Amino acid sequence: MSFATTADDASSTFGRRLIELAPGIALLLAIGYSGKLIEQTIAAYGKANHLALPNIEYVLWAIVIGLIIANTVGVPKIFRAGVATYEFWLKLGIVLLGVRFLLGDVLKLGGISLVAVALELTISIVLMTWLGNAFRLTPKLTSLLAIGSSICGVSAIIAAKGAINAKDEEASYAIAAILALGAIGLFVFPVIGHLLAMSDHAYGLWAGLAIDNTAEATAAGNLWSEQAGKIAVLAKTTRNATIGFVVLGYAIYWATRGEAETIEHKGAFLWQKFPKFVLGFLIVSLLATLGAFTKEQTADIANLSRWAFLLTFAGVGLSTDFGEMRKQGLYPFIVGAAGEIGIAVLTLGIVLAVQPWLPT
Amino acid sequence: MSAPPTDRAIRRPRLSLDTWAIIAASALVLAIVVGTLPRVPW
Repeated sequence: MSFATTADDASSTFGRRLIELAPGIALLLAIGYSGKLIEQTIAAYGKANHLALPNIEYVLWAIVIGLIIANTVGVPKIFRAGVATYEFWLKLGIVLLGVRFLLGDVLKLGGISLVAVALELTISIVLMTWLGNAFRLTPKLTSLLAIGSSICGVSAIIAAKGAINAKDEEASYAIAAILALGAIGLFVFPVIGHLLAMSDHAYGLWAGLAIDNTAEATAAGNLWSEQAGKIAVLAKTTRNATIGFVVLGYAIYWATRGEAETIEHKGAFLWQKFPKFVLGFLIVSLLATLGAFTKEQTADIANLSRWAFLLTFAGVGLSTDFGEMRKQGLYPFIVGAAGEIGIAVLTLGIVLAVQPWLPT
Repeated sequence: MSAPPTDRAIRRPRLSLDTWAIIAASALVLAIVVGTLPRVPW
């Protein structure tokens, strides 16, 4: 036996994995690209016939096609593994998006976001805890809903589940509620934004603060405009960066009640929970700030980020199963919905308050 | 003759999604900078 055999095994495993993922990734591309074609066709039709048709971004079409497939015929098994890669495309898209941010902008907007995020975290946790207690949800499900709504939906809930020893059912309740409510938000937020005539920056900040899952927050921003999408990603990434602190706070709370293990190395815990892709985003942004890329290279990297997001948005629709929500029961949904509406309204208040400091 | 692989060599730790995203982004950015990727349209 030699190392060459091990390397061959590894490459054949890698090859097998790629074959397993290929159908689903092809489906993501087909749905995302169909969305893009629908957007272009409508725009071309409007132009040819001198009609002022509303410009509906491909993002919405891709999500709607995905939602229809997932909630009617369902996603066939052969595609599922590849469809699940949408989170990878999201993270890749965000890292590459760093090329479109100069570090100074990140610090300035990140600073405003950070103040808004601190307020949003406090409000979400207090509101969700109060609602969970009022509806007599189990205390740990309440903790998970509070963490999910205050930080970043699914990954925060998964990170917290282990740290506070919550049950699988409690975690899937919380995840289903957060995802379904995010999907509803995707359709409602742009309508409210238009009614209030919000700017790209204000709308993007609102979407990034109020929508819990990163993919859905990114989609909600891009539904409005690309600029709003950038800001939504920045605000959401700032929220994501706080994940370790909030989960650590909850873990300590449950450990003092003897219902979770005590955390010995708090620094290591914070690093372990920190979303590392944020570092990738900052490095690409730093390189762009230092002038490492030509204008053409910057455009190419930004376009790659757009393609990665196209795959993500198709995956968001395909991964939202409303049937799963119905199975989870009514109370967690009511608590989730009431909490999310409250958070959406309060974060809208925060955005309107910080609007004077936002670029126009 | 080469040494037999250790358990450590066989059971390499799985990389996280974040790490994969950073590796893929680095490879793509490098390919663009050195010019191995053609222009990316949108």
